[in-house]
Amino acid sequence: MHISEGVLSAPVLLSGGVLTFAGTAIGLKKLDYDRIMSVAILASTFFVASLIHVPLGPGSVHLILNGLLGVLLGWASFPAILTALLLQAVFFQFGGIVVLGVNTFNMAAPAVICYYLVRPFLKEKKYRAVAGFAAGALSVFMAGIFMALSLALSDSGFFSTAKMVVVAHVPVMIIEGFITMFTVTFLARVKPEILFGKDSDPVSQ
Amino acid sequence: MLKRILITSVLLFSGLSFLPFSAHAHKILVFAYGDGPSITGEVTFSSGRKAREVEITVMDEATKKVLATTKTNDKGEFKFPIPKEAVRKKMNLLVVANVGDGHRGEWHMTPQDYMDSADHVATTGSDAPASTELLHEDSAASPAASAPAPQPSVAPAVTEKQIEQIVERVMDRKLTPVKHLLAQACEPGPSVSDILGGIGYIIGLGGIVAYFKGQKKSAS
Repeated sequence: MHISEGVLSAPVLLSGGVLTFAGTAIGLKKLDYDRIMSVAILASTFFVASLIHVPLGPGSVHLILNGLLGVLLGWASFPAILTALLLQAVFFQFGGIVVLGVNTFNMAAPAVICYYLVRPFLKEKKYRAVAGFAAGALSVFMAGIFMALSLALSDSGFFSTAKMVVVAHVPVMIIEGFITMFTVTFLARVKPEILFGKDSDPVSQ
Repeated sequence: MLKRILITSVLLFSGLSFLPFSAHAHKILVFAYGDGPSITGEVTFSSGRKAREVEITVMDEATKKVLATTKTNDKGEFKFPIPKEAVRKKMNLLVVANVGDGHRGEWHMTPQDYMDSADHVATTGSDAPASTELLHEDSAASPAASAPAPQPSVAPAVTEKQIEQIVERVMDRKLTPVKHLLAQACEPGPSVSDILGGIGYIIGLGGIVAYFKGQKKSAS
């Protein structure tokens, strides 16, 4: 999911940077004191997740977990993903500093979208598992689409790239769907305040 | 319930592992070297898998002018004749592999990397006697090791140029794995200290943010 340096054109890089800046500003503004550490912990989860290679077939894919971040953090996914990607670029040479804006937006925007789309359903026990799975899978799918879009805006055709990226990430979507589902249902049981805020009563969940 | 989901997911994963799909790694590694009249190279993903059907572009590093394009074969290898323009102008070459899904790798080549092998194809050996002498010296220096093989004086049919080509070819073959190792060593994967360091940075940043937000909170 990391676009390398030297692939994208300047306007795409610039608009990615601007969008990421805006998203990060909103995320930091909305971030309240009590949630800072959970943001940091999830940022490190994201940072490590992409090192976990799942060997499938001839190659291996790595986890992204932007859906989980989105559902749990909302707009704070932007600063979390930005920080994690910056460190990945510095330490592991994944992506790069110049493409940081675009890469952050591609992964954080789906997270925020999932936050608005899926989070309301998490409150109800009936839908929780399905909603969790949907968040995990959908966010990877959307990240693939965003990535294909940014490549298409730079040069290559959209549909061929989108097909290639999305097909390659189908296994990741399924894996992340399950991971997000398990995490969300588990959190709802043991630490519901992370999901529903402080005032929620664990007994009623 | 949980058990059933687990079993389903295990079945799903094992089923998926038979699907032929092109997975993604974080970065791709390009590796190229001069090989006689052509440049040979290889493209691999950082996971070690060969990158098939990848577009290779060769350009002049200074002007970014495209000199040649080719594609990798099923083993992730590529080969193209050294562009004449590059030899003439002694260009620094940039070999770029673009997978098309946002992954891109580069390999820099200085003229020395490919000129040596291009030279002996282009020019005819004029300093033959000098190098024959050299060969004599070599065999004299180590008579025990190479007693039967090098007898250039009794084999006039083999010209200096041919010997040079043979040596070149054998050396290339022997050195290719070494070059591979070097290329791989240049691109080490993330180490444990990198990972732990990264986590530490993030938690530390969280602490700094918490500190400032906490100051504001207590002030208000």
